[in-house]
Amino acid sequence: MRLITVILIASLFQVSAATFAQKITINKNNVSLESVLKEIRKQSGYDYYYGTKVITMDQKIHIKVTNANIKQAIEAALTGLQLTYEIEGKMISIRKKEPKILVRAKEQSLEIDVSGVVTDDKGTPLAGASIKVKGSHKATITNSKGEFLLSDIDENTLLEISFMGFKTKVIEAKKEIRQIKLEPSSADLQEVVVVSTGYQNISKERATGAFSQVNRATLDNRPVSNLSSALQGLVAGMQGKENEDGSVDFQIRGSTSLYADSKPLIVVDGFPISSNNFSDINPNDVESVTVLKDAAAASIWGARSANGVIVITTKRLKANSNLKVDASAFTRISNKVDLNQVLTQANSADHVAYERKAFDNNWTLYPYTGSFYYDVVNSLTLAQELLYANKLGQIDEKMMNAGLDRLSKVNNRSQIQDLLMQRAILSQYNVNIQTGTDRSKTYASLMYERDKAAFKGNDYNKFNMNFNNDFKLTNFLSFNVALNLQYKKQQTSGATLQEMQGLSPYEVLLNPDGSYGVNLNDYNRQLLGTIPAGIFPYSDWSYNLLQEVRGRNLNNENLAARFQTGFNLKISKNLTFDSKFQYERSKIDYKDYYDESTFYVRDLVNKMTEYDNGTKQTGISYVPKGGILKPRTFTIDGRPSDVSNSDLESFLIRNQLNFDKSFGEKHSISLIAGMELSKYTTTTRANPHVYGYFPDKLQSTVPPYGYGSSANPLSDFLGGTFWTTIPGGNTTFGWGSDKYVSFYGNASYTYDNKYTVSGSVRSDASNFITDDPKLRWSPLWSVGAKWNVKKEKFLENADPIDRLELRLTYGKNGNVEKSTSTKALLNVGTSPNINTGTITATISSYGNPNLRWEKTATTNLGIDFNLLKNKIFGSLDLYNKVGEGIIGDVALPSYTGTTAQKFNNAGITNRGIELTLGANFVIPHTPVRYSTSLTYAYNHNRITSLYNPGLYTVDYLDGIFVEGKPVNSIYSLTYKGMENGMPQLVGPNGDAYSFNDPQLIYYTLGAYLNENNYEGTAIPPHTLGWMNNIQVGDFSLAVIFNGKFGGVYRNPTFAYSNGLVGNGKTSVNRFVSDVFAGSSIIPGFAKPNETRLYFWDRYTPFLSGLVESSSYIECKEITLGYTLARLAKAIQVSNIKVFAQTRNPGLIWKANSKGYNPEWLPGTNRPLQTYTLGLNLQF
Amino acid sequence: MKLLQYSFLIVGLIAMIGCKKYLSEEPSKQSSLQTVDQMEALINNAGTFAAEPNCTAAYSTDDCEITKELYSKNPSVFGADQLQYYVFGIEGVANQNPDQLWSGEYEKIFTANLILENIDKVKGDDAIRRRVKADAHFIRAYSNWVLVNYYCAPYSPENLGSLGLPLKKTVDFLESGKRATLKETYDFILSDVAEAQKTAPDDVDPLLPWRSSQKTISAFLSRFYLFTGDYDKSLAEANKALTTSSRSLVDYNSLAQGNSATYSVNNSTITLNYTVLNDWKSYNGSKYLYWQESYYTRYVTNPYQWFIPSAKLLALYDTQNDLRYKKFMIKNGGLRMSVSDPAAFRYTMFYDGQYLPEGLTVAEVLLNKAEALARKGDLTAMDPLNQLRKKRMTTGHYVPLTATAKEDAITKVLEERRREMPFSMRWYDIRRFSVNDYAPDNINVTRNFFKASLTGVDVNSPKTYTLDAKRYLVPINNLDINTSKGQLEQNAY
Repeated sequence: MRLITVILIASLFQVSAATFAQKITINKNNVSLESVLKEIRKQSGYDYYYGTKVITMDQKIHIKVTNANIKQAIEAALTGLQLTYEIEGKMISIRKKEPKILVRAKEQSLEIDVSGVVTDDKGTPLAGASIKVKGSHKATITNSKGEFLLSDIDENTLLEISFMGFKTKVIEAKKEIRQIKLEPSSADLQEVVVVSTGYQNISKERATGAFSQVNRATLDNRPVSNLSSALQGLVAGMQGKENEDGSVDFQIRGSTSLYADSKPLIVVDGFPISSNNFSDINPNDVESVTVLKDAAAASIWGARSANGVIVITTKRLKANSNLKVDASAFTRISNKVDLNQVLTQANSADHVAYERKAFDNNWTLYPYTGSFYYDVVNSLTLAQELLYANKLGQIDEKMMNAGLDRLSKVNNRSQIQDLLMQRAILSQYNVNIQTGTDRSKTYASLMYERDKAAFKGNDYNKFNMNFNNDFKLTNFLSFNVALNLQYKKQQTSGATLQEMQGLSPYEVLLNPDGSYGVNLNDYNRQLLGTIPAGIFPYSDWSYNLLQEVRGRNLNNENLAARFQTGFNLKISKNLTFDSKFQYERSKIDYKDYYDESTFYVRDLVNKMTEYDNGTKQTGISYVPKGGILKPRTFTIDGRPSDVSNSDLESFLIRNQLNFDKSFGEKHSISLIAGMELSKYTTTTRANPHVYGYFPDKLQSTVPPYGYGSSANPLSDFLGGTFWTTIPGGNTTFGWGSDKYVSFYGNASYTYDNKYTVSGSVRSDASNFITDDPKLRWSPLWSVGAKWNVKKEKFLENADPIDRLELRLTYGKNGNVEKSTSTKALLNVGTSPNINTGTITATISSYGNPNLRWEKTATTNLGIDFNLLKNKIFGSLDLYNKVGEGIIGDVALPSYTGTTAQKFNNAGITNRGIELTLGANFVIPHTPVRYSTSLTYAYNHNRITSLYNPGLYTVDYLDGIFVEGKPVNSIYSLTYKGMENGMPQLVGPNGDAYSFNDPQLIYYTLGAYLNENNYEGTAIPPHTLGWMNNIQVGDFSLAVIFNGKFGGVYRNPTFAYSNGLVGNGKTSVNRFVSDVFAGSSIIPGFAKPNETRLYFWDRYTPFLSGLVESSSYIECKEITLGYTLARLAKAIQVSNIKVFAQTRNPGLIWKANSKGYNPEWLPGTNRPLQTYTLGLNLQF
Repeated sequence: MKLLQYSFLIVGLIAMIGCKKYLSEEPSKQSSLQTVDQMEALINNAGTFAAEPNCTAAYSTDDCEITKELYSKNPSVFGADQLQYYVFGIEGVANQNPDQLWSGEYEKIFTANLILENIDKVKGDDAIRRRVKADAHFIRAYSNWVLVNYYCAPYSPENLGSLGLPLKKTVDFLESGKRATLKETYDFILSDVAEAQKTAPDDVDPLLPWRSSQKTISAFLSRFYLFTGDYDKSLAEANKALTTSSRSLVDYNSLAQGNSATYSVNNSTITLNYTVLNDWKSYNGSKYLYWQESYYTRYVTNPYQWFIPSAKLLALYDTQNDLRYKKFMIKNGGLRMSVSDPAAFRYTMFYDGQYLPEGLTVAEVLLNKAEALARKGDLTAMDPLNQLRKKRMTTGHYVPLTATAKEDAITKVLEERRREMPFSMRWYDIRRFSVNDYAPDNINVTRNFFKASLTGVDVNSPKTYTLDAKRYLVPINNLDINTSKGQLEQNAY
């Protein structure tokens, strides 16, 4: 082993902070070359590279220069020596003069092949780093594993290794160079250097596609429970829609499909995860997130890539390391829920006032008549009870008025806040351990998260364990095993918003004496009271929300495991083979338990009891007394569906060949080719309900008279009902399986580091698209080109520009729409139909004989640039996505058996601009560093073709797809004002239409709505994200702003039919105050005896006056961090950092007049402002 | 190393070959058509096959009457589109919502075609296969019969060359939508019936009365031949159908009282009395599927939920003793869950006033038999008629009808027919009476109403409307004409 010492002279000297002299003056005789060079360095600030083996530093020289520049000085020093030099930046490399050709021929025997690995300072391989032989044109680039090979190199030449974002390094060539570590060029400007497509890592320099990357540095200091929250606003063109729990659903570059899934594909460490959900990922384990936006980037994912792909790379150890431990913890406390935001009921005074008005004017849907059979299942409100009691002569007017006055003054909000709500607290603890040798590298992490939600009774505990081990078995075989386990136990017993909305504002949860207050629900209290007490199994048939919440325990447990393994085999110098396997399993158990105190149980038992209201006698009680344990009921396609267990199993196998080679001096190619096989199977089961259940005694009782069927119909307490059954008599099953087979390949060729062309092709087949092999396979492809302009001669010396790259790509991505098939499909019942006593089936799809994959062709033009010594950097992308063969609904003549069928006939285009701009400054003469990044995106979305005329006005209002309009277009109706107490609309031909007229909304070819009725798009086309970092010494401050512009939304408004008797329990929403105030944009109060108020709600919500711009800017997050360097040193840990954060501080500006956040209108449970305190420790 | 490379190649090849089989597993179970049980499950989706949303039956006959006063006081109860049926609109009917009768029947035909295309290819029990095949043929025959009797000219020798239906025999969306002739249409119906007869079981299954049987088919044929004027065949088929041992008349005296509803209107209390068939509870039930008199469960339904009997119809009943009047004509009944003002009637038999039997009941077969006999001049026509009346009149107040001559017999039979099956059979009868060889039964339908268009009613412009022969053909919806791209031809008006 020969060692060549590489000396960086700079390391030998103390760098003086003084400014360097512009001119160099030396006058010395017979001094060593070394001392002269030192002197020059001192005066100029230039560093040197040279190999000690080649150059004798102690040879004596004479030098005399006065006010010389660096070139002159160096030339003078080297005069007469067989040495030459090169200045690059502040670096001077000195080497032997090139031997003459003849001499060189003699030295042939010294030529060697040089190989090595380039890594960053942490040992992470750098793919695409360039290695240049000084003084020649020979050069190469590292492959995806950071490895390079240069053939036929003179042994004594110097290699220059450079990589964007790192300091350039020069070393002497030798046969085997183990590892070349590059130092980052600037600590706070961590340039993204390698991008991952999930199939391969590509150096950013050679990547032709539109990749956006969020790296660890950005994700650090952002304590989140769900990774998606940390990504919001960071990637231009990735629009986020926040969920109640603060997680975010993304849409990349607009909607490309009408009916298929529009979520991007989520890939973790090279594998798509079947949940396609961020919640399965421990955010602390994430090293980087790469968003693949255009065809060249994403088309390697083929038929599932049209919505873009989000590639997540988790942390893993890259180099030898001693045991390293990172620990972090944070606690997040949120504001209390703003009941004015989540509940939309009117205040008690308005509520009572409107109910009184409705009563006086006889606005009823179905009047209360006091008939037992009709009215017992129609609950009145407390106010209506008084009104009707007076009408039926049970109380006098004075008593009624006193009662109403009293109700007007009751406000249940504080009780709701105290008894049902709490401050949400989430705590997360995370530890990760890394250790490794040459042969084995381990990364392991453990996370525990505990959440107590804002609604009492809702909480979860979550564990996530991650283990990742890389083994180098031999020089040519490496092996990897990774395991991720997650366990989550969740309770959702708390009151739901819907339940709280069911309370009248004057209904209290607890009376002053501590007993449960009267909450009216499904029944008329007075009529229920006519039943003699004690004859039903439960004498108490009343409802109280607090009692309900306390008496139930709704649980789900989720156990998920993800196992990934793979090996890499080096077949030859340039060829490697990868084989990977992923297995996933996720099981969820749902157990909903209601004890005897709940209305749910008491009501079901009482209801399923025979009763004769004439004789006031009860008969058989079909449901045994006691608690009920049942599956969770979900609403699927509008129908309730029970689930006890759901079990998801998936596997994926991938085999891939990788080929990397450099030819001659300037050519390098990289190829991958592979195949993939995957299967995703979901099974669900709903167990029978357990009746008469006492968990403490482990007792249960089967309904003694059976569950009822068409052969054995039961009757409930109202009598005479046919075919009533007890729910949950059957075990029901569900099953679904998706399978994919894919072949893919990708190739890229780079010339002279300046020009790169790439191409990829992929074909997928799945088991949805059956029969015709021609249609089953979807050849999807892309081509791309990149021009590294900065490397051209004419820009070499253009100082302000540090980097300039142009990208141009074109290609096709696919999407899957699963609801159709080539042939007709059935939906067969899983248990006998209650009406026919048999299994029944319906046609679920009429068949689309020409079904094929949806395809989207994307053209992308991009520029990446760094300016002013990398102080400013950014990229600009222009794209045009043309979707063709998108599944659209086609109107058919109904003699075909259906009036519409989905065919691949629609087209959607998305055009857009995405701009990312970043800057890094040190404010002169201060310790203040400021960095910022701004993302802006504009998306223009249009449905270009769709043969399906909207049939009815209502379709347009409901957001039907309209040719020539965006996917989420909003139409409105023009209000004409009230005429004789009847609100009027402007209908076809400008005619007035009364709100009582059902015709307008179902007006055929409802296309009477025209441009004037088109208000805009519900998805704002302009989005903005702005992140700011200020660092002052050990303090750092990060502030994030988000904005959306150019969209519209509808303001919620008064629901005229909700205040009516006979339409369920009356609930009056707060917008009644607009009607009381005489708003001119919505109807006023109706004439007495108006019976068609429920028709008004078909029109009112869509009136044009309610539509407003949804533009807004919000401050999303403020984080303050402090690094305790001294303390760390004192207690002998590497680093300690504490931070405080607040999220969702609120809107800064909004366009609408109501002050709403348009994404969180009243009645929605928007993410609350939270305060987080956290700690990071590194050992 | 070479060995390794080859082995990868081999593994890859095997994977490619196996992938066709790998991908042949379906994404969900029971979704593609593979067994006769699935086909049977389609037939057993009885609720869909039984319902026949039918505005023509509800509004276009002389069984319906919306008085000017009723309209003027309740304009919001009547939509402009249902009024177009009432005033015999042509464009007004063709231009509204998709016609649910037309589209609904063709949906049933599609299901039948889907079954017929696959039934011989799928696995399963042959007995079930044969029965399902009969069901599918019968469904297609019945739906085509309904359609041809609404949208095409009435059956008569002169009309046989006129426009019939688009005959859908496959599930192919591209199959022609061109209308066949009337003769071809009727031939197709008879050929389907003949196919159904080959494999149908003998009698109606009391638990599955929506399935076809030989008795069901005979009941249908007794109607079919009555409408084509072939009274001998009609009579023969009626007699065959009446040999059923599973179906029988229900004595309306035995219909129990249901839950009544009480309303207070203008300070007075009005109680609406219902039977167990049509009280509000029926709304949740499916009693209509198991009606003891049904050979085949088919029901005219009114999407607007109010069959409004005309004064002339009401006048036909013995208001004291006819239980059809007393139990089904609800005085003061208005739109569902309301009372009418001014007082009108609500005709309701099943399911909250929406379902009226249209398909093949014992009562109808008796009436078919009576009419065939009467038209042949046989006065024993009164026997089946009285057999029916006995079950319809209050106990102790039944008086047998007698006929003095053929004309008298025909009149009495037709009156009874109208009393027994108002709305659901009236449109069919008006059309057939207009083309048969007996002029006295022709019916003129006229209305005194207001000027009405699809966009509204002008209560200041009274107008009289008369149903003319051209309008006996219900206009085909323009949406279907448009989307057929020139294949489907509209009736000439």
